[in-house]
Amino acid sequence: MKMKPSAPIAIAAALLALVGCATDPGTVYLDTRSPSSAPAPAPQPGERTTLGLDYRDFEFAAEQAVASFLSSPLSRKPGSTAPWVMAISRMINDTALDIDTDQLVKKIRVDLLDSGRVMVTTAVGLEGPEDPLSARTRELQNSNLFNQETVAQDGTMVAPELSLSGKIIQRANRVGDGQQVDYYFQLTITNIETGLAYWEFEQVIAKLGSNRSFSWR
Amino acid sequence: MDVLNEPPAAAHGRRLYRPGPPPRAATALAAGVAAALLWGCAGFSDIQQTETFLERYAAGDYDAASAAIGGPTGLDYPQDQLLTSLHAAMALRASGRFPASQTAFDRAESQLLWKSDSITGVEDLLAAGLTLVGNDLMVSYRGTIYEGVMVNTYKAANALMIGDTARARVELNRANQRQGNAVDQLAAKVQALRTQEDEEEYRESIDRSLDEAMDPDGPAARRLRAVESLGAYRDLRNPFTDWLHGAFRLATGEANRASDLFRNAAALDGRRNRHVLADLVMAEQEAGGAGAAGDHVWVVHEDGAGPFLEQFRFDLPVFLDRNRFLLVSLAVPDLRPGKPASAPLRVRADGQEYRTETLLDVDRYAATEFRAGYDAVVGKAVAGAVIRTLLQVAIQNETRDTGVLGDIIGVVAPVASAAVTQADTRIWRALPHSIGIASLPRPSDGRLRVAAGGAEVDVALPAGRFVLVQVKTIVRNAPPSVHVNSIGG
Repeated sequence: MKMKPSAPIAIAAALLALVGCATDPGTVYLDTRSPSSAPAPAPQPGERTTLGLDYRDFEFAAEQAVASFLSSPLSRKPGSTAPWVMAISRMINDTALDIDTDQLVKKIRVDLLDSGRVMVTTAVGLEGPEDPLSARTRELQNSNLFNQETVAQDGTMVAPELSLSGKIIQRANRVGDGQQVDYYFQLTITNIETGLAYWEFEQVIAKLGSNRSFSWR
Repeated sequence: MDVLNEPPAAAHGRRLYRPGPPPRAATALAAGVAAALLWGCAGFSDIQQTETFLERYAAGDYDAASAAIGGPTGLDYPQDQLLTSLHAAMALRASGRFPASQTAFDRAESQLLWKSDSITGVEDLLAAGLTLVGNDLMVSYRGTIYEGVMVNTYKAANALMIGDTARARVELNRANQRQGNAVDQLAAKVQALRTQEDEEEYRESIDRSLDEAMDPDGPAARRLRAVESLGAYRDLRNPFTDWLHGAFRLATGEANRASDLFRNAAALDGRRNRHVLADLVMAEQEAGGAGAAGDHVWVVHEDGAGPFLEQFRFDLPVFLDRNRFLLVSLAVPDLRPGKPASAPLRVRADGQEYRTETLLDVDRYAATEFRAGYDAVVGKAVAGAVIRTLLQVAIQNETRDTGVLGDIIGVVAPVASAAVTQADTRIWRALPHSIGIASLPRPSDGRLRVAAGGAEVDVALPAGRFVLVQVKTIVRNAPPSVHVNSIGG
């Protein structure tokens, strides 16, 4: 057999050249809006994104949720101009991603507060108050150091009338050579007095991308 | 290159080519250089460290095992070493250091390569070290598909012990996605192993040698039949992962989802495990509106030492032309079954005795993936051996008349070739031989008595509707490691 010393070099060079040729087709949004729904401010179908969730996804879902709620006649308190008082209940991240559900909830809270129809209590929460200081400041009622007229008195806190709960679900499926990852933003506002679901919302965000990595990578 | 007295059947009637003896000094020099080069490779370092780790881990001395890898914290090691992370995580978990174990598992997960289309091109092939002329031991350990599922399953189990329900949910979702993707991923992996970019010139010789290697009566086929006897899990799906996910969903009030997952686990297991069937009934009743069952205890028992890989060598003819051949030694990994310790576990509660029943046979789980890729692994080893041998013969022919330099080259090439003819025997050695479960009503006194081998442990159960007890036994006479927590929030 005749040795060809240049063969291994040629093979290596060819392999190295090929490394630079690999392209990722990228991940794009799918249009999941119904024809009658309002145009989404962002994100746009076909726009580059990740297979996970980024701030635009949370903003989009939150904006759609708030718009849906405010379009409901029940967003106005019957027989009153005062805003509803709402507590934040369980918000479950049922995805494979490391996400903080506050990324969704905070945007909703901000927009609802801006609407003037809902205020959120931070004194009541599923795992204790979000801001325990409201209760703790009552301890100042017996302190000589404080002007008692400025100290919050008992019986002044406002109990929540509504409760916001929800879940973010993820489903991943192979589609051809790629993968489709669907996110379901599901929200419910419950009337605490009756226990009835007062408002229900679901927004799907679907992404189509390569199957090279899991969505959480 | 080894020479056999008895050439293989297909080689009968052909001449055995015998290269001349190399000079002694050059041999020693070449051997030293090759050994020094390979000893620094990631694979050999991994194998050495695994042996040190196992001396302690297999004796049930988990703190010493994690310290041998990562010092007092168990985490003081290069973070990009997958095998190290896998071993450290298991030792830390067994000794109840769950947050540190999570850190090690996080590191491991960040290094796990396999996804469905992870290896599709030449660049991926190179990155994964799946090259023909080199050796997989020269690159970092990349892990397997089933190891990826187990990483997320263990991370979920750790999170449940810490009381981190949100983290457990994320990890179980990841494990579920890995399970759903396993079939595609396995196909891509096998395809990648078969993708051989630089072999066309040697195709005829490779095919002839491959026929010899795949002889149904040959040693490779016998080894393969031994692996097949370990069984397989359909779709490379792990029933324990589905069961744990089901238990979690039931504990978090999602009986419908729990029912589906328990049904998966029961089907994968062949409906043998009576505890899984009882859990399925419980979830279906709850999903059907029959009301919540009473408080419940699940016992998970990880027993023994898991499967391992050994190097298996056999001789293979490499054909130089129609009439001449060389016999070379081929090395391929051989999956060997693990060893049980104290299964089943006996659990006494409220005067009744329960026994754990195996849900995951780790030998069988590992064998499922190993078997699927075995032909490709042998094919790759054969192609590599043929190419290296033919290149080496060509080098010897070309340098025969070039004096001392020729002597050295003529020796370095075969010694280096022999050195890279090493099977990659790296595998996650800290997995158990089996995982069994028991499902029982919470005892009225809130206490369990767990008997494993010769040891008994009294377990006080925390308050909660669902309690998970995790027991690990690795050797019969060592006391079991027991951890317990309520789950579901």
